[in-house]
Amino acid sequence: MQLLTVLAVIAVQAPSSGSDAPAGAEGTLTIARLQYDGGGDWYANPSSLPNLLRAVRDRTGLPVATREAVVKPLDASLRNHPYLYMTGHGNVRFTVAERAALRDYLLTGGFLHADDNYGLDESFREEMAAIFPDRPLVELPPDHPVFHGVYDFPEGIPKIHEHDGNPPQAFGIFDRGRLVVFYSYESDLGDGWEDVDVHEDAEDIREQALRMGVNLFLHAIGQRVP
Amino acid sequence: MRMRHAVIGGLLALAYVLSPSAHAALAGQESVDMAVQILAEGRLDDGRQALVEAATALPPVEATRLLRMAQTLAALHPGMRPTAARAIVLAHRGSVDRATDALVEAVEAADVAEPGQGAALLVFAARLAETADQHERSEALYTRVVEGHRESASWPEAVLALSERRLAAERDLSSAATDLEDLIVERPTHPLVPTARLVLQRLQEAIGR
Amino acid sequence: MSPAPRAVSRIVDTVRGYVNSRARLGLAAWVAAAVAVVLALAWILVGSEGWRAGTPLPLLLDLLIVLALVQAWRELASRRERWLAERLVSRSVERAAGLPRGTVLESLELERAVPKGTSAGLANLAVQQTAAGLTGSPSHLAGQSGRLAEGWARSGLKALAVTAPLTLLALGLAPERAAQAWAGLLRPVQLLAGEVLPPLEVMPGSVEVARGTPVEIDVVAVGREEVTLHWRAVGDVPRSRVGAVENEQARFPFPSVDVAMDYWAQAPDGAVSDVFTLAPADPLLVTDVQVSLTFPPHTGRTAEEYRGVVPRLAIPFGTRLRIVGRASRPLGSAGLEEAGGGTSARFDVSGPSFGGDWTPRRSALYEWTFLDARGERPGVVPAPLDVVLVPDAFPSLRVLYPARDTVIPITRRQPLVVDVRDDYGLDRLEVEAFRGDGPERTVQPLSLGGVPAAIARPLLDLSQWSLVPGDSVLYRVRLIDNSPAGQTTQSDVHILRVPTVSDLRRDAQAELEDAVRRLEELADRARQEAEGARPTDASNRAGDPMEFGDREQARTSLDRQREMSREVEELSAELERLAAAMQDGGLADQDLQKDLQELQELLNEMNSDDLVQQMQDLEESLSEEDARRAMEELRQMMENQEEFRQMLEESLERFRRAAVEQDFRATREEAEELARRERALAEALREQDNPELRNRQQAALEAEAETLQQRMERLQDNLGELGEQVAQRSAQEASTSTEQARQSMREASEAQSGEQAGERAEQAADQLQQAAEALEQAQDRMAEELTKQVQAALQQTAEGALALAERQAELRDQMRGATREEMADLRSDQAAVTEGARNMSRNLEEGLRFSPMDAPGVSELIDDAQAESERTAEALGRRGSNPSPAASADRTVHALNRLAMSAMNAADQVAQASAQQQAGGEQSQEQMDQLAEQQADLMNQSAQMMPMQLSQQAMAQQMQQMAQGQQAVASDLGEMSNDPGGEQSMADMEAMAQEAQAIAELLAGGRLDRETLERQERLFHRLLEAGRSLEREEDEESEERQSEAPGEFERGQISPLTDADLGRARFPLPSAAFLARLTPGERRLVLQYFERLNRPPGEIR
Repeated sequence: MQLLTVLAVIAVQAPSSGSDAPAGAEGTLTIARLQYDGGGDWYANPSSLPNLLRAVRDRTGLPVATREAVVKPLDASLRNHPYLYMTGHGNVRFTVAERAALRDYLLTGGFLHADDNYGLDESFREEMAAIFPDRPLVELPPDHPVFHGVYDFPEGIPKIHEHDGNPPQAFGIFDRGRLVVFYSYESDLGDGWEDVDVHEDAEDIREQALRMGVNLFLHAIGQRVP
Repeated sequence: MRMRHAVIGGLLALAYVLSPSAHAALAGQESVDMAVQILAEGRLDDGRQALVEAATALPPVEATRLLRMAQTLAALHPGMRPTAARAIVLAHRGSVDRATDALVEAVEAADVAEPGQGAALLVFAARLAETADQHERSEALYTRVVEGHRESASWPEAVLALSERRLAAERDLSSAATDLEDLIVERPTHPLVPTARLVLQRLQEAIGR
Repeated sequence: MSPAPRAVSRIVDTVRGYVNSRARLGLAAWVAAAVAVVLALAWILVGSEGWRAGTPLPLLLDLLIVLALVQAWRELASRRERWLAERLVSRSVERAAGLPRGTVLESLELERAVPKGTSAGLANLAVQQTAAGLTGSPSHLAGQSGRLAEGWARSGLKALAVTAPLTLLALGLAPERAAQAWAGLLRPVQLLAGEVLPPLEVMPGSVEVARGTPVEIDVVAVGREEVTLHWRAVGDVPRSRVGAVENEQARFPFPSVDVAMDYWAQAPDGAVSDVFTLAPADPLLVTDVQVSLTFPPHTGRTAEEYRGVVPRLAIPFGTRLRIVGRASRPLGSAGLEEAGGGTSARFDVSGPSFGGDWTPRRSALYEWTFLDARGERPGVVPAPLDVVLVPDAFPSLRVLYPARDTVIPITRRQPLVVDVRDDYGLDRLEVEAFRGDGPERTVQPLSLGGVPAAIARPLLDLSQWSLVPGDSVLYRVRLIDNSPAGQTTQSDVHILRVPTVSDLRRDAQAELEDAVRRLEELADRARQEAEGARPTDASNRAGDPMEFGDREQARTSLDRQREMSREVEELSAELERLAAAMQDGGLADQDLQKDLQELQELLNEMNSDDLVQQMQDLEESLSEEDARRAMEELRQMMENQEEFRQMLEESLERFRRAAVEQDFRATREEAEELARRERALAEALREQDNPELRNRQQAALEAEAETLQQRMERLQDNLGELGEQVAQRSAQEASTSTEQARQSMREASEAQSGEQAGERAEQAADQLQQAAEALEQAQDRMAEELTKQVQAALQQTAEGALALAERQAELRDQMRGATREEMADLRSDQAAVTEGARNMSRNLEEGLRFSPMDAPGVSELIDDAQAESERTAEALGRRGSNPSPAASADRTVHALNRLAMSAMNAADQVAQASAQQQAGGEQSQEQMDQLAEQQADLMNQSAQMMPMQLSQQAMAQQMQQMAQGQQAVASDLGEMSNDPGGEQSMADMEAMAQEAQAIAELLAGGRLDRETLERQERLFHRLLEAGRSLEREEDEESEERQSEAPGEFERGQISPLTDADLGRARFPLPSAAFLARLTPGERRLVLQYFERLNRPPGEIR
């Protein structure tokens, strides 16, 4: 009888060429998944980021890694990753030091995409208010460049999965014109990036999610730090 | 002319009766009666609840009076409640003297469980006496609480009431001032202490004169 | 006939010799004299500057000497001929000897040969007679000849005597002149011919130089003033150049030698050097070096190739290098050598090409070594090959979750999150779970497919293991990479504990005590902050600009407050985690959950919205340099801080109480559990089934009793600190009972008979039970006291509200018809009412301080009443206010009445809840929680009984008790399932009731094994879950949703982003460097200016 069961599939593709580098290897561009306390499942949607990275690589030619890295706010390697991603269904809680570290990271060139997987909203907004008491989350209008990078989204952020029947919204926090935090709400981009068999979404839904993810990645990486 | 006045008066009376406040007043009075009746029947908890409900239908000042009664019933030891309930019934039916006497007798009897309970009954009796304009009796009852029940929860109210009466009558001002000072020192957080300070100030001004 | 002895011959020869010597002497003298004359003549003729080049004189003089010598020799020859003729000599001798003429001659002839017919003797006699007659010296006998020779010698000597002094005189007078003169005589021909110059020297001669390099040809031409260099390059006409000679050398630079050329030098004096050749030589060059790398297969790296410049190679161990190249000349050898000596590689050489395979074994700098066919090294060598061998690193793993020893969830499934990485690739991950030395041990491999990194999420499923509370499972994660060696890395061993209820309680207590400690530290800091802030407050007067120091202190104060607020938040989050962990661990302790929830809310209240807003406002005002506003905000924040500090102190009290209460509960439960086990042991002791085992068990229980007693003593101290004297006395009684129980246990161990031991053990169990009951009673009394306290606080609130209401009614009566001045006088009375309401609020807070309940409705109503009173006061101060003061006073009375009603109602509810608890009539959810708690107790009992290995009889008694307990749970569940008002969520109540019944029957039948225990545990989980389901329904908590495709929606209007939204100022501030150059005052003015510029249009401040 199986005494140990693996429930989560490691959604990693073997590198197809020697040019793909391990996640987090020095000098390799990748997305870093933010590990946080509070009880929320920071590790949700395991296949989402590898799929997004592949989309970025295939569609833009950027030499990104095949896997995401995992960082905590107080890790020394935080600064090695210009792009952070966080998601979950539950509580997000940062300590005093973690908030300070994240604020410092974001104001000195870092970027955070927070993706509400349903249930993250309240605690995330509280944490953002604590980290940026001077900068509120503002809703991004459809004409913001993030929606018109590689792909066009004339109506703004796409809706991937249903949460509470509300329209999808994209919020941001800016620093001297630079988007430092992007918060996708009532959209669930991460679900759209998962493997096909996880949610069995329609192809166009997945495509919309991946396109938005590509736009976001390129916009974030391409911003000039003031 | 007389007829006209009568008609006008009648119309006014009719208007009052038909007006919402009149309805409310009438409805409130009925509720009070019903509550007192329940108390008279010995159903103390229900009667107390009925008093509270009746208070909701009355104007604020009158509601306060009913609530006082309900609160007194709630605060008393279960053994003392029937005495208080009987006093309420008697007072409501106009026999304030008998109500007051009943309360004082209960206090003087040996079956008062705690000193605080005795003070509560005496203050209740003093209030009843006030409503019936029996000021001397009221004052005497307050004096008894002030002098004999210093540790009770009713002592601050008795001190303030007595001091105000003495100030109004301009007698025993020093004694009143002393009592107020004691109140302020010993029960600085009591809700009536700010008022007590004002009264003390006026007493001191009066003493100064 | 023999010749006669040669006596006469001898004499004649002697005479002849004498004459010859005289002749020679004369010759020598005459020659010497001639030489002396010549030397003197040379001295005279040489002059002061020496012989002139080309002068014939020395030659002539030498000729003279030669002539003289020749002449002298001829003379000598002729004179010797005459003088030494035999006849002449014989005659001279005869004359000198006075012998007859011819005597000597005849004698000589006789000596030579005796004529025939002559007697030899006579001949001999004749000779002897002649010889005897020749007496005298040779010089005498020489006679004429001798005299002539002598004379010649004498004249020669005379000549010499005359000339030699002259020569010596010349020498003495001018020795250098004499030397020059006479040296010239030695080289007369040279002098006649002129000076002879040294030959030309040409450097560098015939050489090979690198093509294109410049060459300088030096010609050493001693004695010349110029010299001509001739050269002929291949393919070019002969050329020449004249060069001046300086310092006996002429230099001819050639800028570049590209072709071979012959050259020679020539001097004006006709001297010509040899012909030399300058040949350009090409250096040995190595080109076209190509390095191909083939990596080991497991690295998955494709081959790489470098041409020309090869960078530093950081390559995995085992990488093979294929190196090929070409040189400009045929090579003799090619290879690589480690700098400093060491390993090397040799390549095959074929003409100018070289190549070969090499697998480096060491990291080093390898230098190229080339030699051409002549053994020459190249002029230019490729850069050394820097090889760094990178060993295949061990894979790395990091267990991200749970990453520490923890309690296993009640599902017995522990999710793990592991970050795995390798430099090249991973083969597999293994999770190994085991239990100490137990047989259960399992390894689960998980293939990783060669990926270099992954986030693995295995689930450690121990649901099939027979685990009971108290068990521990060890696990570790092992990672193997895909290298041929299969390098392995292991994580630390972590422990998953299956907690006992006692463990969980103590854990909760420890957490609460830790929270107390942290709050104490926080309270200290808050006190210090409050004390430290006073000088700032005093030093700032309204209207004065904020000094830099004050501003910094304000900022520090703000930062500290922020930090404290965040720590409070963290503490709140930790309490939440603790509550979840306790639930997950299976601790169904309602009181603890309530405590934790209440403490959390208390902490959340500390960070009130007001305080948060104050901090934000202060931050804004500080950043805007708005001094007046900043001071105001600071003052307000300090007020809120004071409230914060007070709440902190109150929370501290509450936490201390919660920790002590948890200690109470845990100690009581432990006492009960210990009593149960001691009672079971008593039965076993009576049966004397296994004395040794029982003694050990008794000793173990006695040790636990000792620990329990210590806990009770500690509990006593804590209760004393809280001021709970009654509870403290109970704890003391419990401690005494426990001490007595220990004594009984010791007596049981020492008892002679089993019966006696059993009695003593039974006594010990009773004493422990007494201790538990004493604690329970104390706890109940504490709870009762608390309830009374709450009730009293609420009733006092009601009393106070009504007293104030009456007071307000009196004031209202005074307001009617009062003049404006009288109204103003009444304001102080009204303010007293407001202050009285505040007092009420404080009193209520104080009264509910330790209560698990709060009265938010009552507190809000106090606030309402306060607000109404304040409005009444304002109305008193305003002319023509609407509503009027009297109407406002009415509303105040109304608000106070509502407050009184609410307080009375709340007091009633407290009394009802207390009565209900005692009567046991809880709500469904509470009932469920209680059942879960009972089930947990039963489970605990079973778990404790199992390892005791009691005898059948002893076990039977225990089993009966447990069966009864289980039956009680079954009955309660049965009743709940029959409740007509039961909700859908209670649909499986009947199933749980049946299950409880079945377990009760098993226990009653004496069956207590792992399966029974597991069934009890599963039932417990279901009860817990059922309780949570009810709670969830009440709280409308959302769950994990299934993903749904999006439905219809309508997007709202979104405003364009402003500069403020974008964090941009319309007019950017000057740079920090610029601002730093200004004085603080100037800086403030500049910042204010820009702040005004950047204000949104229309905003007025």
